[in-house]
Amino acid sequence: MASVDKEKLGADLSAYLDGELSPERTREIERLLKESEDVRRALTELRGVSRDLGDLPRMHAPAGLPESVRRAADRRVGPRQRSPVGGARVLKLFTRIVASAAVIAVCTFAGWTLHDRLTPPTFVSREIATPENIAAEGQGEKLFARRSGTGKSARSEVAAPDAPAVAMRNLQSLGYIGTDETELADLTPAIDTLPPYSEPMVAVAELDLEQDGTIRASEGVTPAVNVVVSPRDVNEFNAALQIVAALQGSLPGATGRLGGARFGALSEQKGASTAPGQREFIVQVPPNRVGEVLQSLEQQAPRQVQVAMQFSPSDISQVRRMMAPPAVGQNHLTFDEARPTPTEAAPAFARAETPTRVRGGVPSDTYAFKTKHPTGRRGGRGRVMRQPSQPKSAEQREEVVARPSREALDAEASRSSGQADDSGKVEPKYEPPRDTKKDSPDARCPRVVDVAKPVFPAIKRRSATPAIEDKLADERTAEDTDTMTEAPRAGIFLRERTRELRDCLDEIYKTMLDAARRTSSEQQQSVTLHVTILPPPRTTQPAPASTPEKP
Amino acid sequence: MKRTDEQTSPSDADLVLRAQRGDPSALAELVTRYQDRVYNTCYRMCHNHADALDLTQTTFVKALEALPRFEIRAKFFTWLFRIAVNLTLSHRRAQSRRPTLSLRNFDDDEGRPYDPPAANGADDPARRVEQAELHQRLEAALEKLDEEFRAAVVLRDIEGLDYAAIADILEVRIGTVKSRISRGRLMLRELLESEESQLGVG
Repeated sequence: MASVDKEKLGADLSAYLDGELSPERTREIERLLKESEDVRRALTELRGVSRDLGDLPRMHAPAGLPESVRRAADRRVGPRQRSPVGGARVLKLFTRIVASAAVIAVCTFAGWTLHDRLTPPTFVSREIATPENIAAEGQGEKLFARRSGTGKSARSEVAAPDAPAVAMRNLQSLGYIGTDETELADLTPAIDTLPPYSEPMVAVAELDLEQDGTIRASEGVTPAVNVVVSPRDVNEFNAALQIVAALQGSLPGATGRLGGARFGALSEQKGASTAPGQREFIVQVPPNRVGEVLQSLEQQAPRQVQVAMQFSPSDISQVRRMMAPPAVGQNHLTFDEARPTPTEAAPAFARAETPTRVRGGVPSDTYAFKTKHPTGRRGGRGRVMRQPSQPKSAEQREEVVARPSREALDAEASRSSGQADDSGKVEPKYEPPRDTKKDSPDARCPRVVDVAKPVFPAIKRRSATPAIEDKLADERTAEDTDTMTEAPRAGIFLRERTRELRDCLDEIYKTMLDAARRTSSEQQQSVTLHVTILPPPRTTQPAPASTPEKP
Repeated sequence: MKRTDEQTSPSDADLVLRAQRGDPSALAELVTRYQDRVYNTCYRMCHNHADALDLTQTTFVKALEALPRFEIRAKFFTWLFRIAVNLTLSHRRAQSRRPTLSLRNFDDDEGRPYDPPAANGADDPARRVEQAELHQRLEAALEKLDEEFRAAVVLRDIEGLDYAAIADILEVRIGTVKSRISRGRLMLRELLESEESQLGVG
């Protein structure tokens, strides 16, 4: 009975503190406070807790929340053309709401970010944006357009009269080779000695891990994205350069939209260590546009873009957000939460004890994990992912991604009796554990698939040489039936190159940005892209310049 | 000045009415008006920025989907918070069924701006360190509370809602709110004292 009274007194004291007692009970409590030291002490303690809670810093919603809400609402309602009446109304309201919310948000946050988010630039050219095409578009076709509020592609940007000359000059300043493959003969022979960097599109996430595999929250890891494009021919090389040029704003029509302060700053790096003809750039890109840039590069050079991400997630939820499927029934990212011990782990992921050097990137002493494209095709003999130590390009790969530790190599060697060699035998497969913990997509982070809009800058890819196109077709077929045979311990696979990829990447870089903010006192507004465009191999049979390829 | 603001800013009811009639600016104003409070509440209940962001977003999406059916005589604020709290509680329950690897949130403000501490001794580094430690311990203790107590305490002491509003949000009686707040505070006090004794903090 006494305890009940004590509990009731405690509740009344708490309510008294909040001014929620009746006048009669308030008077009783005040009388008790005068009479009892214990009651006064209890009240003081309650007041202290209440005050301390009230002093906790208030968290503010992120800048992009209205936009995220709009996207989520879009996703819930579904594609516009199939929206029911009620859903359409919500969508219509939301389309408007965010436009209005943007105005409010602009007052608080950088206007350019929100502006770009609301009206992302859209590339509407039907052709690859060569200087020649730019010249033609100067008369008719427009290069860049911004999505209008009514949904139609506005053709408001007309190239300046001197657009061809400007474009050519700017592109050449970046290393543009030209469309005539015979020009390659003028390049230094050193290009021939540089093996084509045939690493397909992979994502390498460098996570700070403890010995037991748990993610270690650490400071000082600057988020960066290292991109290596290894074009197979001059078309891909030029197209990749055009993406960079677009970022720089040196293409007519793109100035002020994609380049400069509003989109990203670009600086060209010329290091003594770079191979002749190789171009390296540093691009500052808003985190919500990184995915577009990468996908654009990937579109121009399919399977020839390697992406290495470097960041320091300090919370497992950040990683989980990356793992969330971008669309119902599709999961392009896997993450092995079980984190098997190194001996169990896929040998493709070597723990780097020595500092990892990423080409053009930031030296890191974090563990590096290297994945390969799930298809792992090599010579059309199978789909088993290979070891990092491939012939010819092994050194380069080690240089670019990670240097396996001696322990890892020893452990790998000890298991090598059952592994495949280059004769095509199948390595012991490491089956990734099925991820049964995926949340429903609706419950996850904001991610939208903008099905109606092309990605930026959706330069229509010019057909490569027939051999390359055939190879790509083969790989696409193989990918349909592909399964992953190895799993990372703490790695991330990007398995698709479709538009979901952009959303995945966007989400990843948003998370990276969060990590950056975590480790920096300043608000970081951009992600650093280190873009390396390797020179294309010299073709043995240059295509005649007079036979342009049709898209 | 405050009086002027009150006169110029429309009430929630006005905004809801306009939003129901299709005024997008009213919708935008509602979102902007409450996004920080909802986010802060979700964060204090789940102690995770990523989850709080998801929950906040879902809250607004659900609210806006249901807005045409919202009765104007009800309080928009409590209705919105009811959605947020219910979502967060569901999320926490689901999470408890699927325990996840949690890492210490060593610096979990993610760079987001927050209101600086009060000016009383804020310039004193020692005081600031002390305050940061207190906040850290308080957040840890808050996380150990049962969901129902935490929700009540957060709504009262962090969001400053009165008992009637909390009862409306949690859909319980006022007496229950009173009990939960009281017990939540006591538990917090005990948790803090226990930790202080372990650390030897005076």
